[in-house]
Amino acid sequence: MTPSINLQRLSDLPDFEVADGHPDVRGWAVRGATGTALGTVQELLVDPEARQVRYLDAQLTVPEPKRVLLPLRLASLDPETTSVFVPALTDAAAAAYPAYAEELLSPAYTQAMHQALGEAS
Amino acid sequence: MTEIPIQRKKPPLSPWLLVALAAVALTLGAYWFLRPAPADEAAPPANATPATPADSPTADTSAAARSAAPAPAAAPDSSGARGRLLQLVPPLSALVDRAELRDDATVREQRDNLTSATARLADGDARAGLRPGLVAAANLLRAVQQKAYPALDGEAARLVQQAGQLSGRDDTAAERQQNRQFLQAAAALLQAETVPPTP
Repeated sequence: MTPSINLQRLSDLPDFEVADGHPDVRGWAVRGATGTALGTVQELLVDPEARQVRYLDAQLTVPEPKRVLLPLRLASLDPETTSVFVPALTDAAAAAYPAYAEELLSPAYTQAMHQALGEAS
Repeated sequence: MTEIPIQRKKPPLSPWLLVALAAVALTLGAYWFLRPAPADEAAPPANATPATPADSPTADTSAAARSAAPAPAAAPDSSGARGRLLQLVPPLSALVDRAELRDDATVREQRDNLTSATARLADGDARAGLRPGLVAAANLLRAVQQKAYPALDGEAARLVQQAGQLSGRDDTAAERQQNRQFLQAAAALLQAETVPPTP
């Protein structure tokens, strides 16, 4: 999937909110392939035209502190434990995952992200 | 595949709707607190004391209301309770016009109640009930007693109690008898209160 350049933080769209019946996962724990908590979801990157959340902006603490973007389509949500499971995020993937430091999703970051998750870009 | 859709935030409750609701609440509140006092309200308690100073602005308002009260359209028919009640009104008014009574807030309030309750009777309105006027007369005599005639406490209390038991009709023999007894008791108490109190 090629990310849209129109992605925006949900908090930057004051007229929008997570749709009724769906969880707002900001603040939820991010858990990798082993179920270990690796960090916390900080923000949602949304496609305003499609009205869908595309990426989770997460702050990882394991194996090292860094900010990353996780594709929502690869995640599973567990409201009971308020956790976002990302099975593709192994320890190795977390270590190799590119840190997200740009305000916008750049093509370079997208490519590195897909590589870390073992996806063909 | 996990999806989290987003939606436009729902518009907040219209401020105009809130304003309208507040206006309705205020209107209901104003109606509740400013509605005219019913003529057959309970008699004032025995230890009631006048709360309004004699020179308060309400005295003028009350006096204006009294002077604006309609005069009887015709001489009341003294044969029924309605006529006898209307005959009681002028001496009752003369009584409460006495200097030591006319500025008493409770007496003034009860006098206004009587005026209001008997106005429709005086106009000859056939649908006007007797009971408000009878009760108002009893309450006025009670207020005068409490102000100046402590010795008549028993008679005044009985009269108020008697008024509370009236049906307000004058159709059956029993009703006429009840009304007659009440009006006789009221006239007797009025007579007793006409005598200036002994210091």
